[in-house]
Amino acid sequence: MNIQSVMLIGGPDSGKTNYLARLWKALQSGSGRMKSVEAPEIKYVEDALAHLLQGSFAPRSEKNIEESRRDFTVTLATQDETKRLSVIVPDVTGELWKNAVSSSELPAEWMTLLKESSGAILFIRVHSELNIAPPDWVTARELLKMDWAGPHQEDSIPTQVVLCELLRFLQLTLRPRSSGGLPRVAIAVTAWDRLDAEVKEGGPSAYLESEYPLFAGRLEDVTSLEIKVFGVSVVGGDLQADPDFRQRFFNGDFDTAGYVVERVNGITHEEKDLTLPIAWLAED
Amino acid sequence: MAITCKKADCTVAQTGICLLNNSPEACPERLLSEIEPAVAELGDLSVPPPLSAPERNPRFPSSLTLTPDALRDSAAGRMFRMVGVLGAPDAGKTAILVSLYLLLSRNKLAGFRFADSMSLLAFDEISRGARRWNDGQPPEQMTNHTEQPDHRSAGFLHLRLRDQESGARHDILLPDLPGEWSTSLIDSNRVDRLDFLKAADVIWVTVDGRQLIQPQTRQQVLHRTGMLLQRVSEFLGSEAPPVFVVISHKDLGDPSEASLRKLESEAARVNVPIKILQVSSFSDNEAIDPGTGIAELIAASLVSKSPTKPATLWPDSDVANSDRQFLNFRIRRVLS
Repeated sequence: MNIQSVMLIGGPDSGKTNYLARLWKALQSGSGRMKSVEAPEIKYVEDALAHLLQGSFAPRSEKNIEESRRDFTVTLATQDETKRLSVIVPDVTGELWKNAVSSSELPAEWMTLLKESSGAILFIRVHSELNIAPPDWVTARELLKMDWAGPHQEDSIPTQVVLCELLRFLQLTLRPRSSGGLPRVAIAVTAWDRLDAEVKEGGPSAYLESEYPLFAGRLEDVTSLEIKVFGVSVVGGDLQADPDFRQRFFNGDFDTAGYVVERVNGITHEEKDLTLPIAWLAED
Repeated sequence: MAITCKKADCTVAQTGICLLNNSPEACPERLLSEIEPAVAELGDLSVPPPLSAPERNPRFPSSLTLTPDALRDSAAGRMFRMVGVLGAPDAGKTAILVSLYLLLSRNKLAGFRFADSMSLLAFDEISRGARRWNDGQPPEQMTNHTEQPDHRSAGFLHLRLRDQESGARHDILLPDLPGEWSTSLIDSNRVDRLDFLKAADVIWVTVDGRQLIQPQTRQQVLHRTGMLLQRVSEFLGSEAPPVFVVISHKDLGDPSEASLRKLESEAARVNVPIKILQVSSFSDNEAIDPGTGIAELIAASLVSKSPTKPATLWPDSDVANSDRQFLNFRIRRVLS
């Protein structure tokens, strides 16, 4: 069977680890579109899942998770086993991608794997503390006035510029799907539940348009990739800031926690199947 | 070890081949060094190969300012609208580029939306003050090399905008040049590095609005702008595209009617029809929003003259018979 591979990419704190943990549980429960068929090394996802099961998100600085394994691979299949997909997470910390944007370089092994992939999920987390807004007019003017220039600060590249660059890297590398179709990129807007009802109603694309106009403009302009934007909530609420939700979460069934949203025919549609973005990538 | 020969014209030392067709080791003319046996005992004295260069990670093409080469490679076949941006240092050229970028970053450029940029990181860098030209030395030319520069270098910024009403895409090239290039255009008629202006669809001549409203500096800035227009006229002649005189710092006040009339008469004197626009890239005045006038400037620049194909840009020379083969090669490549 021809196995296609897809990559999960995103900067630090973009929601990759928590999504993977939740995905892992969904793959085990067997109720979603996809199931796991081969996962030789699962300590990383098991560690991350342990946090979720105990009512907390996997912390970004968790040494066990970051150091136990910097990359992670799992082979998935559709429930009828007609399609298989290898899911690769090159660097769970996200530092790899941050560095790739600032230096335009990627270690050879990952560049090779990226070129062998026909799809990717690009992660962005709502309200992440690490999200960086573009400079405003006052800041920019003050910076322009200075007749010195400090070293270029990679850390302050605005999030939407980072996303545009990562999308450009995907355009340059991903190969067509086995059917000959364009490579697919799923944009996962994580922590979707943290948005207010009105914004949620507008759907994930509208959210990107208001929050990251440069990135949203790029998404609309790209013709060499098939792109779909998903909103993802791994457990359906905020385990840290909402005690009521936390209580409901503990008393409920984990396998029904969380959801994925997508915009279908102008309506924001919610799905319980956390494997949806990957299943979309696995289609012919 | 090298073998030498008693015969002066034998080249065995260099080629290893005996002129008398003898085996080099057995030739009777072979010159034996006195130290040969001793050296032979030392065994192989060949120098080990130097350390191999450290392996470099594969790179993606950068999205910093585009060199002419990079532009030619990545833009083949695309239709571009080129804006030539001239103006003295501090006239506000960079501020206009930064303000344009910030408007797009917040989706505030009236009538347009961002669609793409091949030089997004360059826009971002200049918006964050990485404006110093190579340790204070403005670049002397636009380099043709495509490797990532360590410092900001003169080059082109690319933007693709989507017209919100019609949905049409516009690819725009804006040169990011030091003001010193305009100064030397006026003072020394240095046009060699401004050859790309021949392909421009519109030229912005930026004028420092602060100086234009100050009595002490008004006359000087009018004179220098007139000189710049004259140089543009001399350089481009009847081929000159529409010229917009872009006056900055609208937030600090409008220039007098007399100043505007003087700019127009200076332009008419050198046969350059101009349109005057005012912008406020930033603002200290609550009544004037930062970015005022930028959308109008872009809209006006998009309706002037038909766009140009980049493949015809930067002809290095009209003469294809240089004594130097390499130049002929370059010329063929550029013209092809």
